[in-house]
Amino acid sequence: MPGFSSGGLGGEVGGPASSSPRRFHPSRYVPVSAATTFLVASTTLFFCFTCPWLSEHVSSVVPIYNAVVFLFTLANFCMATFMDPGVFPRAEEDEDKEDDFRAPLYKTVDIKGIQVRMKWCSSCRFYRPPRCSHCSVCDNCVEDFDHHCPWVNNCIGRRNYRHFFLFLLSLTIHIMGVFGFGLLYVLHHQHQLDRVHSAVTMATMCVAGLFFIPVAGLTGFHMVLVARGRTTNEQVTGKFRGGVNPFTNGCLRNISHVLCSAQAPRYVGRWRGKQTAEVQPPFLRPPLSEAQLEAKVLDNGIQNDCHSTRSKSSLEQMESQSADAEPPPPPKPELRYPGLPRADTEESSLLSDGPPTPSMYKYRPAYSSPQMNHTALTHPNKMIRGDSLDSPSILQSSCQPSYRSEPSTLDGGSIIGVGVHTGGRERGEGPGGTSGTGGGVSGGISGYSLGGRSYTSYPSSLVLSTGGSLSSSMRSAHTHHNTLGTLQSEGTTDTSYKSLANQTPRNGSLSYDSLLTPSESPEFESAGYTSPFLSAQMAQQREGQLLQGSASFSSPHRAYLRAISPPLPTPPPHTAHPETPHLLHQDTRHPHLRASSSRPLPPVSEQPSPSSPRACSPDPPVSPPPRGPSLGQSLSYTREAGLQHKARSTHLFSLTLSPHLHPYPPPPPPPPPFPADFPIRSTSRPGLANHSTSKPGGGVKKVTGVGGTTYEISV
Amino acid sequence: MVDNRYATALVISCVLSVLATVYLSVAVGTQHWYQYTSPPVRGEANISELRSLHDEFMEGEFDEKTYSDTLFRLNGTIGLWWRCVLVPSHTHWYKESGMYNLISSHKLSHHGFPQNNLLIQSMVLSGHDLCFFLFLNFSSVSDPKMVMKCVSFTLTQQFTPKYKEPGNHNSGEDMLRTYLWRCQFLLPLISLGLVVLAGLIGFCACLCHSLTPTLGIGMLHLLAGLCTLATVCCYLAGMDLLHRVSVLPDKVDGSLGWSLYLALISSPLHMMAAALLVWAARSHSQNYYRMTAYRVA
Repeated sequence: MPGFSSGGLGGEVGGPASSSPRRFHPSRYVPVSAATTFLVASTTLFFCFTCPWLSEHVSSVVPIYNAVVFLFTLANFCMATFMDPGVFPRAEEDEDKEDDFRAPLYKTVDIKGIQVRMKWCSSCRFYRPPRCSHCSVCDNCVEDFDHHCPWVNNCIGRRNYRHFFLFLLSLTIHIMGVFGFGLLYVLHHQHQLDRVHSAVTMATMCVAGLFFIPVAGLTGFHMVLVARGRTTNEQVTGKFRGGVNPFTNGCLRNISHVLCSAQAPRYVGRWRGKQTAEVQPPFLRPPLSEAQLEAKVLDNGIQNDCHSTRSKSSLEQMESQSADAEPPPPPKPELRYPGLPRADTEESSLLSDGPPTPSMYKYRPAYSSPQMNHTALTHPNKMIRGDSLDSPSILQSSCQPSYRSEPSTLDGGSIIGVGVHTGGRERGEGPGGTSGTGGGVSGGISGYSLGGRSYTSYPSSLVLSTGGSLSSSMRSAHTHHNTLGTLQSEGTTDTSYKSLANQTPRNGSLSYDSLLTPSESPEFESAGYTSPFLSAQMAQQREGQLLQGSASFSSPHRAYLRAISPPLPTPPPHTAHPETPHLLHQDTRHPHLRASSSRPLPPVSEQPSPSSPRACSPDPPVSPPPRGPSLGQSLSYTREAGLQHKARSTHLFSLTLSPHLHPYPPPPPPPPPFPADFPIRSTSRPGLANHSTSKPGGGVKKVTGVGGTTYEISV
Repeated sequence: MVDNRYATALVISCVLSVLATVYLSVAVGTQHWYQYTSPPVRGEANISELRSLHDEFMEGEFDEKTYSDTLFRLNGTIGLWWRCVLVPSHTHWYKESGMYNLISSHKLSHHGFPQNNLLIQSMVLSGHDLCFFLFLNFSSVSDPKMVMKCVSFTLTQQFTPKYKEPGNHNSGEDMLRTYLWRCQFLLPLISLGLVVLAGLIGFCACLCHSLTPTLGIGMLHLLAGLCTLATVCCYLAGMDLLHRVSVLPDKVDGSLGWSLYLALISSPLHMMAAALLVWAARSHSQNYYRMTAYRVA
C-alpha cells in the first residue's frame, strides 16, 4: 500500500509540474524510503524501549543527548534532500540555436594558470562551467557536481554539499551512540533477554551495526575529499590526478570553505524579477506634462485672437452643450416628412453616377499597400472593432434626411433662422462624415453632402447682402469670405480648380438643375486634362514640404498642418476627378473652422489642464490613413466617451472635425492606456506619415499658405 | 529536478505517516501504558488473600477499587482497553498448598512423641531444616512459571463514571477523572480515523493525478498528531489523579510502560509528515505559478 500510494503521488508531481511529461520511475524512491524507515524507526524504537531504563540507571542526560543528535541528523537529511543543489537553468531554444550547431565540443579556460576544459552540454545548450556536470537522473547541470545520491534522491552540488557532509558526520555519531547504549542495556539485562525491551534493543543494535560500516566508510572518504578540495566526480573521473588541482586552497581553507562559506545563490529562481517587472503600472506623468505645455501654447495663441472670435466660439460651445443633451421630441416629426422626397432623389442620382467604379478603385490601394497589411497583422483586435462599428454608422446615416430639410427653413432669412442654421451645420456634419467612412457608396454620398454644404454657404451670403442691419460677428465672417476669395484668385492652376469647385456644387443642388444644364458638357471635356494637373500637384506638394521645413510655427500649428496634409493623397487619381475640386474647396475652409473650433475650449472649461489634452489628443490620430485601425480606434474612443462628460465634449469636437474630412476616415480617439502598445503605434505612425508625405498632392502648399495667411489675419 | 524533490517529500511523508500509524495502533492495542512492581509473595498467610483477589479480579463484578487493588498487589499492568496481572500458574498454587500440608503433618507427627525429650529435640531440629529446604526449592522453581492474566474493558465499562472515593458509590462522581478517562480512549481512535481518511484522500488523488488535496492531507496529519499528544496528556493526568485518590500500598512501585512511549513518539512523526506535505504543496504551487507566468510572458 505505501509503495503504491507513494508511486502514484510521484506520478502526480511529475505530470502537472513539468511542461514535458517525464516517465515516472518508482525504483528511484526505494532507497530514500529505506533510508528514512531505518533511520526513524530504529531511533524511535531505541527511545521507547531502551532510553527509559538508561534515564533511570545511567543518567537523564542520555535521552537528551540522543534526541539532539537525532534532530541534527534529521535536519541535515532534509536539507540535503529538499535543497536545490545549484541547478543551472537551461538556455532557451531561440537563444543559442546557432551555437548549438556550430559550437565545438570543448572550450579551454585558464584557472590559476592551469588549462581547464569546458564541455558543451547539448541538453542544456551551454558550455558547462568548471566543476559543473550534467546529472542524467535529474537531467540538469549542477554547479560543483559531487554525485547523485540515491539515499536522499537528489544531486549533491555546491549548495547542499555542506548539509550532506554534516548529515554523514552526525549519522555516524548517532549510530555509534545507539549501538553503544544498546550494548550497555543488553549487558545489564543478560538474565532477561526474552523480554520485549531486550528483544527490541537487540534488533535496533543489529540495524545500527549493519549501517555503521558503510556510513563510516563514506564519511571517511568525504573527509579526505573535503581536506583535498576535490569532488567525488573529479575523484572518480580522474581529473587533476597527475597535475595540480586549481580549486584547492589548502587543507584548512578547504574545510572552512565547505562548512563556513556563504550560501551560494539559486539560479532557477530568477523568474521572479521578470514577473515583477511586467506587473508595473504605466507612467502617467509624460502625457500630463505634454498637455500642460500644449495648454500654455494654446492660451498664448487664443489671447492674441480678436474679441469677436471669442464670442463666436462661445456660441459654438453653447450649441455643442445643447447637442449633448437630449434633442426635443417635437422637431423630429416635422423633419421626417420633408426628408422623404430628398432621399428618393438621392437614390436616382446615385444610380445615374455609377457607384461601383469608384469603390473598386478605392479598394485596390488598401490591399496593395504593405504598411496596411502590417498594421492589420499587428492589430487583429482593431479589425474586430471595425466590424462592430458598422452598426453605429448605419444609425448615424439615418440622420441625413433631417440635415437635408434644414436648408428650407433657412430661406426665411430671419435671425432665428440664422441660429437654426448654425445648429444645423453641426448636426448635419456628423452624418456626412460617417457616411464618408462607409463602403463603396462613399463617393456619391460625399459629393451630394458637399453640394448641400456649399448650398448652405450661399444663402448666408445672400442674407448678408440683402440684410440692412448686420452684427459685428456677421461682418467678421464676411471679411473671412473676402480673404478666401482673394486666395482663390492666386495662380492659374488654382483658379481653374476653384472654378471647377464652384460649378460642381451647383450640379449637386436640385433647385439649380435648369441653370447648370448647358454647363455639363464642358465639365466632361475638362476631365481629359487631369493627368498634367496631377503632375503639377506633385511639384506643388514638394514646394509645400520645403515651406513646412523653412516655416517656424508653434507646436499646435504644426500639429494641425501635419494632421491636414496626410489625408489628401488617400483617394486614387483615376477616381479623383469629380472629387478633387471638392477636396480643394474643403481645404480652403478647413483651417479656419479648426482654429475657430479649438479656440473656445480654454476659456469655457473650468479645468484647462485636463480638458486640453483631450482636445489636442484627437489631432495626431488623424494622420493614419488606413481605415481598419482608425475605425477600431474610434470605436474605443466612443466607448470612453460614454464614461465621462468631458469625453463627450471631445467626441463632439471630433464630430465637428469629421465633416470636413468625410471622404477620409474619422479622427480616432486617443490610444488605449496599455504601455506596451505605445511603441508599436509610435513605430507605425512615422512609417505611415512618411508614406503619406511621399504621395503626390497639390493641396499641401495651399493648406500651408492658407493656414499661415489665416493666422496672420487673425493676429 | 523540481518534480523529483516534491515526489521525494511526498514519499518521505508517506513513510513517516505509516510508521506513526503503526506505533499508535500497537500502543492502543497493548496494555503496557502503566505498570506496577509488586513485592514477591511472603508468608503463607497472604496466599489465600491474594488468591481471593485474583478470583474476584477474573470473575467478579467490575469495580475500580477492586481491580485497582488487584493491580497494585499482583504486578499489574494497565492500558487503554486491557488490564493484566502477573500470577503463578494453577499447579504452583497446588504445590504451595501441598507444602503447607506437609509442614502441618510434620508438626503433628512431632507432637506424637512425648516420652523421650532428647529424641524429641533432635527431631524438631531436623524437621525445621527439612521444611526450609523444601520451601526454598519450591520458591525457586515457581518463578519462571508466572503467567499473565488479562481482562478487557468493555465499552460500557469504559463509559462507567468514576467516583471521588473508589469503591464508595455514595461519595459522588468525579467529573474530571471520568472525562479524562473517556478522552484518553476516544482520542487515539479519532487520530487513527483522521490518518485513514487522509490515506483514502491520498489514494483518490493518486488515481485522479491531482496534487490539490496535498495541503488538506497535511492538515489532517497535523490534527492526528495533536490528538495523539492530547491522548498522552489525558492519560498521564488521569493516572496521577488515580494515585492521589487510591494510595499505593507499601513497597509498590509504578512506572510508565513502553506503549505510552510509542504513543508519545508517534505524535511528532505525524507532525513531521504534515510539515513535509504542507511544504511540498506550497512550494509546488508557487513554482508552478512562476513557470506559468514566465511562459505567458
